[in-house]
Amino acid sequence: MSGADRRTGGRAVCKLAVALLTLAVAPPDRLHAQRVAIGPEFIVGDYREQSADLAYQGIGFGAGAIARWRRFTGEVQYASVEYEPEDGGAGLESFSAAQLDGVLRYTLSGTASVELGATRRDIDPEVAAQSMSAVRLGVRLSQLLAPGARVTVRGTYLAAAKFSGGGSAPFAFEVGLGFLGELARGHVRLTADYEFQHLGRKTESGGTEFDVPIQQWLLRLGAGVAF
Amino acid sequence: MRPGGALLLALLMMAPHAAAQAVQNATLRRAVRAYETLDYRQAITLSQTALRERLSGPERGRAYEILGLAYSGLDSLTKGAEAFRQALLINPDMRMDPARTSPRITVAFDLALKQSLLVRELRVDSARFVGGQGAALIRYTVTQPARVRTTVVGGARTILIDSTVATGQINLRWPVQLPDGNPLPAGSYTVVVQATAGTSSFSASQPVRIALGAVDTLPHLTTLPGNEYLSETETPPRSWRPLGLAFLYTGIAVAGTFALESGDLGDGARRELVAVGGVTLGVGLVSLLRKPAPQPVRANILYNNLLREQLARRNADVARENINRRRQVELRVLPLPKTGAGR
Repeated sequence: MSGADRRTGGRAVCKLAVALLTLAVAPPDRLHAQRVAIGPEFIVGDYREQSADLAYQGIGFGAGAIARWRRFTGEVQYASVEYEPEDGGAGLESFSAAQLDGVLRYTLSGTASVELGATRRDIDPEVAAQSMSAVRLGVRLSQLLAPGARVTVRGTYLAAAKFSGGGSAPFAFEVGLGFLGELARGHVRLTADYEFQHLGRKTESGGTEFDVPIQQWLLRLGAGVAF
Repeated sequence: MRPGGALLLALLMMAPHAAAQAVQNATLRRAVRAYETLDYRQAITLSQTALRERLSGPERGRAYEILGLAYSGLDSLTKGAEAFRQALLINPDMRMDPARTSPRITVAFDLALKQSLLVRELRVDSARFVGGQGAALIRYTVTQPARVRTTVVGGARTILIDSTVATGQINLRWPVQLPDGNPLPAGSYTVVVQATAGTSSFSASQPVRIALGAVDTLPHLTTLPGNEYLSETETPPRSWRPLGLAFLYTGIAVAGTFALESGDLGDGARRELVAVGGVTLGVGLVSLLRKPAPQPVRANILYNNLLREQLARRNADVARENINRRRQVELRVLPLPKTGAGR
């Protein structure tokens, strides 16, 4: 990914995030029928790249915010995970990953919704792993299991993925499973969210194409308030 | 039919009436016995003798009646009619049953009726009604065209009920009110019907008792008959749906993960999927095992709300009606036994 591309993608993601955060933190009297939720998250992660030898595991913290208005939902999630090489992998360097996701979701019915957004993951130090950004195109199904308990499954195509080390990923998907429990008449939210991301990254060198896949598993355990 | 047989029949018909009016005068008793033995001439003589003696009103009427029957038995129509006329002036309600009486007697009796101005069969029906919303019925018969004034008299008060020129059967509705529209005060009154035609006049009266009472108020309604309140919540049957959904959604996530995973990268740590999937399945299982919470039944809630609104409307109507009823008076009209005859 070139510096110019990175700046352009970064600005888009930042604009979306600012817009959604504005919705999230705006005073309730300006939100009319909106429902806003916000809260911190504890994160467990597993990151793999190129081969089984480049495997990392880590933990971190994040935050999420959601704002609803009529059939629209805006959601922003930030995760910062400190990855360590798995089994103390010799010669591998620890790194931190800061991932920002933002989506705008439109509810088709009580169960199904479609979403459009962006994702960006920055790696520090840059050479330890691949920073990336992509556009998110997804569908989501959501059902009540019981009063105050909701389960969600989602599938997302990560389009136009760009990587700090170059290459592209025409085959890039993410699946997720989420559980939401609401307490105190919905004012307190407990969330558990599983996210698996597969990026079929391909690079080209000397006219030869190489497969350099990237996979990441994230578990987000969150607690928040809604108003 | 022989005259004697016809008169015997008339005698039999009159017997209960005669028995009801106990005759004290000895001469009159002898006249009755003479008539019963078909000795009409002796009956006439004894009746006339009795009429010259001291008789009570009913006895005098009975004497004229025996005289009329005996004259009719002797085919003396004019004298018979005159005797019946005198009897009718004393007892205007006297009647002959044409089906069971000799035609000669009936003709004499009818002739007497046509010759007399009488107010007969005055009746005031007993009644119970709310003042201003009902009336008591007064009925009488006038035998000749006459100016008929109907009044009610009580104490020093005389109130005109009706004044008309009429003949035959008359029915009047009496609202039992003073001229200003207020109910007549409770007490004993006499309804007097006076008929006047030329120099002839006749009046009949009927005593009545007027009683006043409060009008019953309506009870406050707590239910509408045939419309009971329905339960606003309902416990749904135990459902496998939550567990099924948990399995379905977890299965989709597991299948998606396995489909996308690259074997070159080794087996990833699936603890994240196990954790979230486990929570989801656990909630689904708990939802299955837990007794379902009662759910509001919207239709029943709407129905109960409609019922409450209907009850409130009906009770508002009841309250308004009761306010009116507390201002109203219930009137009871009770006819009393007559103490005298017409004049």
